[in-house]
Amino acid sequence: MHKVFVSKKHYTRKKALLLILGIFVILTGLISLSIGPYDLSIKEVLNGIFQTKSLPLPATERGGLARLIIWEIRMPRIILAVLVGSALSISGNIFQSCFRNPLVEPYILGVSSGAAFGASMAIVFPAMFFSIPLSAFLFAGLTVLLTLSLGVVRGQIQTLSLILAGVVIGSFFSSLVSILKYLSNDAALREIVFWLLGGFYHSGWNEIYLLAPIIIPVSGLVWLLGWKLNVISIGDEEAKSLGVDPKKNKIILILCATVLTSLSVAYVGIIAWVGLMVPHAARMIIGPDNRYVIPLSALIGTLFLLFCDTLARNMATGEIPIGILTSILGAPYLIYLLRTKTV
Amino acid sequence: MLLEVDQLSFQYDTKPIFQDVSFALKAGELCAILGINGSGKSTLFKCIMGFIHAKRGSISFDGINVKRHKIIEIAKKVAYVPQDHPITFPYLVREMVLMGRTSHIANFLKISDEQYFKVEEALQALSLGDLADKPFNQLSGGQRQMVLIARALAQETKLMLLDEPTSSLDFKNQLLIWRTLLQLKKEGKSVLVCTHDPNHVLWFCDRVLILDNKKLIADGPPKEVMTEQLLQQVYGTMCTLEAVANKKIVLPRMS
Repeated sequence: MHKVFVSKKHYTRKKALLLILGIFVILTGLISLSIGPYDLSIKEVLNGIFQTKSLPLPATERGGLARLIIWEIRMPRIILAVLVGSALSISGNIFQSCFRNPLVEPYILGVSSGAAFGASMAIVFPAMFFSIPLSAFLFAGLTVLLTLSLGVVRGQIQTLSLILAGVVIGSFFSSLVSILKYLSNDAALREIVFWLLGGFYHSGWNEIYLLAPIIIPVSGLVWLLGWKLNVISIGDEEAKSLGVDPKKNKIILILCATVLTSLSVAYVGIIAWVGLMVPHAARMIIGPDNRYVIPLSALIGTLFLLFCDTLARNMATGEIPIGILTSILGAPYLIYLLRTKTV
Repeated sequence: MLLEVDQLSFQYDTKPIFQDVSFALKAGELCAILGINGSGKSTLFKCIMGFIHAKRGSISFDGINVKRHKIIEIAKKVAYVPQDHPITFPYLVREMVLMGRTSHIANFLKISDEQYFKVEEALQALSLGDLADKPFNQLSGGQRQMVLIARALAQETKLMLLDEPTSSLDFKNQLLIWRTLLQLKKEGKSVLVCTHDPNHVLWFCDRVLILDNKKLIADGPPKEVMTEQLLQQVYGTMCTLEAVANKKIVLPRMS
């Protein structure tokens, strides 16, 4: 039984790491709440969070103003960063494992181009669409359905066909976005460009109430399927011989990844690199077992977006779109990956 | 019978791969499938494992048609050892072998001590304990093949299918694999192994199935059915069958 003890110790270390990082995410969230044009101390942040019963304090008093800034401006933004950071990282991990390719990212099936087209249509023709996020979400879903219908050959998911179909469909919708940009007036063009760069500037509680009840249970389902994702990632035939139905599970997992990505893109625009980089970082830290990679990806994705968003809010007088920051940090990271070939 | 293949025929589109293949496998048999490239050995394996489906004929495990088994039920009856291959993500040997327990575990977020114990048992049975915490991809081809066999052992099935397990290995590792397979046979497991080496079949197996020209042309003890005439029918006249130190050996005849 000594060896069994060694096995369990191996997994206990991983659980401890997740716990420590979870605490670190909470601390980062607190720091992020305190930083902004109106600086707050950590004590004020804690008071603002926990002394909600003493509300209403007039917003003219510092305590009341602090609570207003925390609850109405910064908290929804931070929670949105947590949800989107987790969603993009988890879906990146799903695609990388399902396609057995560590260089795949969540936008591989053309989700981002479809969403961009949907958002652009809603911006250019506001009368025809209910809202920008809804239009972005619908077109993102439509793009994935098109890609999947082209990528499934004789009832089997063909990885290469699927990736190529994603490139073709993505490219088609990107061209449509270019046409819309060309046709739109200055104000609409500016809005499209800002949407494409991604950011949390439209964060509010309404977005949280809509996203959280979907992103949290879908992420939980993916976590429950983590071990099956491991088995699928070594090959379809082997997965089948070990008792896992690769086709059924891949469809469930890809649908989950699509929902996570489409919802994120619909509300915060295209935030590049997170879904590619974060699963790598998680695997380098904790190994490739998806039962641990999935929660760790969610935590690292959250940390990364919290860090980038805090920078985006405070680096300049105006806000920098977060997509620019994630790309600037992402490019050197990919070069590092290519140099070291660590996956 | 553990495995029964009855009148099985398979074709890709209109190209027939094999026709009317029938055989049955008992417990404790070490049986080889021999044949030249393209004779349909691997396709037959894929049919047995349910990776592809034959249009005609049937395959049964323990008397039940494979089509009526769920994927997870097949995994409890037959283990498959693919040819050695590197994997995309650097799973540890321990994790690879734990994958063999997949069909036995309901909740992978809470794995019991018994499951870890089965993994350790499989690793110890093949003397792989020292490699348990090494990434699978960093092992040699022979070690990787042994790990895949350990994974099949952890699966705790009565039947094990191995697809060319020695094809990319040096002679020492080839012998190590065959010694392991003989040990498994002794423990009562049935082993069906696909191989290219007729000598290995003559030396180690107690039964051989020979596929040639889309048909099963021989089925029986290798020393009896592998005659020079039959070998020349399969491999051409460039080989001859000799006896050296009381062992039959297939030798090349190049002149």
